[in-house]
Amino acid sequence: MTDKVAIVNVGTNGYSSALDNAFDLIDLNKDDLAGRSVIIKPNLCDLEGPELGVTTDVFLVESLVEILQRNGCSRIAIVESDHWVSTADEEFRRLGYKEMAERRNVRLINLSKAPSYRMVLHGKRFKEIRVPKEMMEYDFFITVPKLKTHADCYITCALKNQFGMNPRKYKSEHHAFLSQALFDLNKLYRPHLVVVDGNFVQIEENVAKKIGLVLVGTDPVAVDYVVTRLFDMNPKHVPYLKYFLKFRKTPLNVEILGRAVCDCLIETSFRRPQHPSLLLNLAHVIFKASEKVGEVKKVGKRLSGFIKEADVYLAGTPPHLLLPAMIRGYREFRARKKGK
Amino acid sequence: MVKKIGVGVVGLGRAAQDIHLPRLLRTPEITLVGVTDVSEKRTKETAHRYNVKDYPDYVDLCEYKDIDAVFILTPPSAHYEVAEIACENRKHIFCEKPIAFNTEQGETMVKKASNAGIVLMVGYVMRFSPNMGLLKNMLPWLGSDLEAETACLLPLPPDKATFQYQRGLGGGALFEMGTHHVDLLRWFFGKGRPVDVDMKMREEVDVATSFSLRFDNGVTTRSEISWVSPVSQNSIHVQGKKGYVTTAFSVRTTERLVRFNLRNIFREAGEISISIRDSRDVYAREIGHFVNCVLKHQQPLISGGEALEDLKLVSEIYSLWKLK
Repeated sequence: MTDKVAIVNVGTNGYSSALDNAFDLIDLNKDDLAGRSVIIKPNLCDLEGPELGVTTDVFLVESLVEILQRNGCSRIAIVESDHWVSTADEEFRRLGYKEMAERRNVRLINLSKAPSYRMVLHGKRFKEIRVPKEMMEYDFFITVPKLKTHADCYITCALKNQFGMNPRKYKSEHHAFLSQALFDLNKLYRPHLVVVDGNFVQIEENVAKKIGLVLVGTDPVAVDYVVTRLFDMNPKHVPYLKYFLKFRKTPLNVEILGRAVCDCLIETSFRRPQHPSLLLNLAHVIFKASEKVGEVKKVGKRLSGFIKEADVYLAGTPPHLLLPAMIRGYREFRARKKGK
Repeated sequence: MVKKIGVGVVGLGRAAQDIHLPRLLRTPEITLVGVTDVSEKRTKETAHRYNVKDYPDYVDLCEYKDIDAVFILTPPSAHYEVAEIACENRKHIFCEKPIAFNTEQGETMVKKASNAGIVLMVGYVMRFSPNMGLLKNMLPWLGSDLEAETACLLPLPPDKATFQYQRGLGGGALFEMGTHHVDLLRWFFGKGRPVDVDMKMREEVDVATSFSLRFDNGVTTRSEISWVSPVSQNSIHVQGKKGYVTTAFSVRTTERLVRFNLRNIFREAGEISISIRDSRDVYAREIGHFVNCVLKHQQPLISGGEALEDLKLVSEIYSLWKLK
């Protein structure tokens, strides 16, 4: 069985025909939508608008809502949580979601304010998490992320959009454990459909470009995998994606439909910074310096090679385990080099 | 200033000593005025311990003007006679479950309480457990074809000297403990009738009873009640076409879990639990509800009429067993 991901153009007819086309490509059973109550999670967690490639375009969500309503969905709600500089309610208003919701008779739920249950997860990062009571009444989850680059993890798309399902306003305590946090949140809120807004894409910080794509799939890992290919990146260089692939029970078998990846590669000079951990940066400096010392030059080069790929080995490692992970990673790195 | 109600307690057995008296003293809206029991020694000891008045009998207690409400914590066989005097003196009544020894007495109690214009509440404490409330709220999400299984299992039977082993005082596992589950199932599913029952008797009372109920809305349930089980369990599991919900009743824990797996947005996540943290125990909630009803002249969650329906269903289960 393949994980289908459709890549379609946003043509002159707008998002509606693009979505219809993409749904047909992935053989989405629209009859199955009848009577469903649907949660839509766009990415509204930024201070900029969709034209700057950082928040989900309200017109894409409106087109999606129109298709869902046309196919008999009984109830639709759009959800977002507060972020550190603003509230979800303010973002709904600022980005046009409030007007759209009134127009389309759709509910807006601020996850940070809604009365909630305390769900016990015993996950990799969350012991428990608050979940709005109202969520229990919905049975279909569509994540509508924005396709964009990200300073810490190269790209942010389908999997990372669920970070906003954590209702806490200040979420930074989870950034150091992003892979684990996303793993837990995606386990709880496993999207049944992913619709990616790739119309205007942030290709570098504060640089947006019109790409004019919409991606649709049912598996968020497969969608993120395709997104990395669009940026011509190694999927395993995206720490959280590598983490998901590691714990995946079935092998990823992506079938790309619609446009070919090679026809719509997104050019960017964006490169992820070195591993943000102080320890790794320090190690990097030491090993760089050691390269200049004659006696350890060879070792230094080897280590330097490892450092360049370190994030592959250290993805998702908590800070206090970085040193043993580095040692273990270096052994794997050496073994792989020797194997070659 | 907190408006207070004066309370007198009739019956000073384990339910009073371990459960109600300590909580009555901690309820700010209650002033514990006096106590009485058939045992004069126990009455004097308890009155001395709690620094309240001791009454020679329940008639004196019910007649005392400073008492607004009476807690009837006697064996079920004595509920009626105490309630009758309390009604005559227009005292509000909190009565331990079941409401009375038989349905005739229960009906008269309800009628007299209604005529006296007092609050009559019966102590089905499981309804005050927040996880049971949550389970009730989750029932619509389970879809159709609901089935429920409940278990109230205790490894140690009560002391043979206690009323639980004497049918004439209101003993029996079903009559004494199973009535909680009958009440809970009625609260969840409405009007029902017994379709099957099996009992294990010891001397004159049942010590283990299993019974099946069918409710008017099509729900079927199976319950196991036992004093002679090797394990301790007090739980309920409800399942329907769209999933299941399971939870357990607990008095002392401050964290209660409701486990579920529903075909909703979380269906891919497997079984998950909702944690309910509440430092206030269920008996304190129960007493709080009674106080609230008295002060605001409201109908309690478990009124005399409700408890009478429970008693009728329990009696029907016993009748079915006699027919077998």
